[in-house]
Amino acid sequence: MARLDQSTEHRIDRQPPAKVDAPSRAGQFAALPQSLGSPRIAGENTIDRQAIRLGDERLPTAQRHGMAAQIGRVQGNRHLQKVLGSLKRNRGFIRTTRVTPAKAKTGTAHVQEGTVNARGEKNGLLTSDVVPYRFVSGGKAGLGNLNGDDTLNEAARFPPPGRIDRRQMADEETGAGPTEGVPIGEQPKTAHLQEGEVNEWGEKDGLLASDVAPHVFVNGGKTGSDLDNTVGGRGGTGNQGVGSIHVVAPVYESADPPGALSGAVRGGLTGGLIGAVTGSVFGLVGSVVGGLLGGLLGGAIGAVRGSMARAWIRPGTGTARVTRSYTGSLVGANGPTLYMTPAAVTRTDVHEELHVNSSRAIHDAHIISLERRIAQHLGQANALLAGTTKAEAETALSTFINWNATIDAFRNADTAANTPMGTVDTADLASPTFIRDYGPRAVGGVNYARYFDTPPGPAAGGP
Amino acid sequence: MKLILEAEKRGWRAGETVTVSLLVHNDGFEPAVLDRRLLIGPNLMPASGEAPPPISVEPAFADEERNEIYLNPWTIYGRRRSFPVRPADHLVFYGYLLRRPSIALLPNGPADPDTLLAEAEPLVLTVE
Repeated sequence: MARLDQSTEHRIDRQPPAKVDAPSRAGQFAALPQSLGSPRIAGENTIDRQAIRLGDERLPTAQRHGMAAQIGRVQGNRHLQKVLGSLKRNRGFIRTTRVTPAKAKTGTAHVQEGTVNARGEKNGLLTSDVVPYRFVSGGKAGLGNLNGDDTLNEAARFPPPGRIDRRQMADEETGAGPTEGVPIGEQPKTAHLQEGEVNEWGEKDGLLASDVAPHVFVNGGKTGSDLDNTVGGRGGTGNQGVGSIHVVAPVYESADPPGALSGAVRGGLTGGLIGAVTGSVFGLVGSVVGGLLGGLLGGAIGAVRGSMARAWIRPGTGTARVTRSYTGSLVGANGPTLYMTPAAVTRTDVHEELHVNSSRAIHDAHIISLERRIAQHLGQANALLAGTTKAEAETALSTFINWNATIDAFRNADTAANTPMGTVDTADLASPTFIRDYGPRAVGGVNYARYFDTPPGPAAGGP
Repeated sequence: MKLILEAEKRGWRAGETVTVSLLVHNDGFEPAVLDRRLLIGPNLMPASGEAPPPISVEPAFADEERNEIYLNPWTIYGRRRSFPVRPADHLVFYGYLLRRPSIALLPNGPADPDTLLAEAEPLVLTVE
């Protein structure tokens, strides 16, 4: 969709737009005939000089728009496209988005509840001081059906232990050491960007897509090994707090309606052109009739669209990243009192993978739909048309995104499932091959007060 | 039969190793037979909401007869285990005896209540 007036864009933080020499809306349209009559702009036949004039932000937007239209009429649209291309190469777009830094900092602070943006939407790292522990019981070694039913089969459908989803790898939250035995399951995908259209200002328009979904769940897998948590180590624990999620709240930007008249004119012209071309298959009369009908219809549609404000999400904001990884226990001695068999450590890892996969399932249930909503209105090209003022458009977009409720839903579900003795622990506890404490035992001449193994455990009296 | 959980003292200090015994007392007047594999505990459940350590069991003998414990009237069989504890916590210990083998075992009892034969009164200890 073409945009006539970009000068009134601003951000949600309500800071006043930068001072510009833009006339009032009425003044802009009043200035248009004057620009159309400019003897110089079309005659300046070097592309770069025309681009400089079009990019001169000291001139009102409408006047520059008029210059562009005049260039197109006098020297043709192909020439205009070259001018706009030159402008884009040299200075970027003519558009000047009146954006100021967000009040709410995009979150890197590792705090419990993060911050909020101007709309009260959650921002930063939302976490907790509770990490998922290995819970101990019996259970099948593997991620299969743990209960003989489908209780945990949702988790079982995910990749096996050590398989990492690196669809968008991030890292910094664990502070854990080098990875241990973490095969990379997937090669990073390279997005093939699908460009949309551009308007007469060279601005990208329409749907700008790619073939890579922006899912941001990072399965960090097993990051290392440590003494088991039952003897004060980190073994058999998750590296992130339950409910932890790193979010960058959406920053809403908006623009006033370009005006019904403007919309009608643009829509009418576009519709008329389409109608004329379509009708030309019936000859000159068909072309004229088609042009008229198309113009009327396009004008009506354009008038409606032109009377609506727009709001969109600033690219780079509105992201939610969930990272889950865990630390395994040591095989053999875990300090002077505990011995863990290889089977026990493997089962510990399997249990921690259940936590990771549970978080992933919950992420997919809540956050992916949020990401889709964000992507739908990411960037000005995907602006939501709503209301008659910027504020109304922003409110409508915020309501549509439903940021806080979605983030809370994820956190609540993740906490319920993965907190100690939550649903994941409880279900795994009731499985048949989980770790058990077989009591005091001598291993290799060393006495341990506790010996963790999976059923059936060691033979009594054996080594 | 009666199950009893015992500790040397009720109050413990952080850093100490808590030692708890689960005792099976044949309080009848006839000899009784106990399968050591069906005695579960003592099991710790931290009151702080942390994950509990593994439930306590015994290694089994390959010879079935050696897994059976014969208890004359008013005699005791027991199992003692030690647990490192963390500060400022209430520790609750459980122990129970199964009627038959059960694969789904929780710290405070089997998932299937029908498999429970007897259980000890929970033992609550305080760590300062």
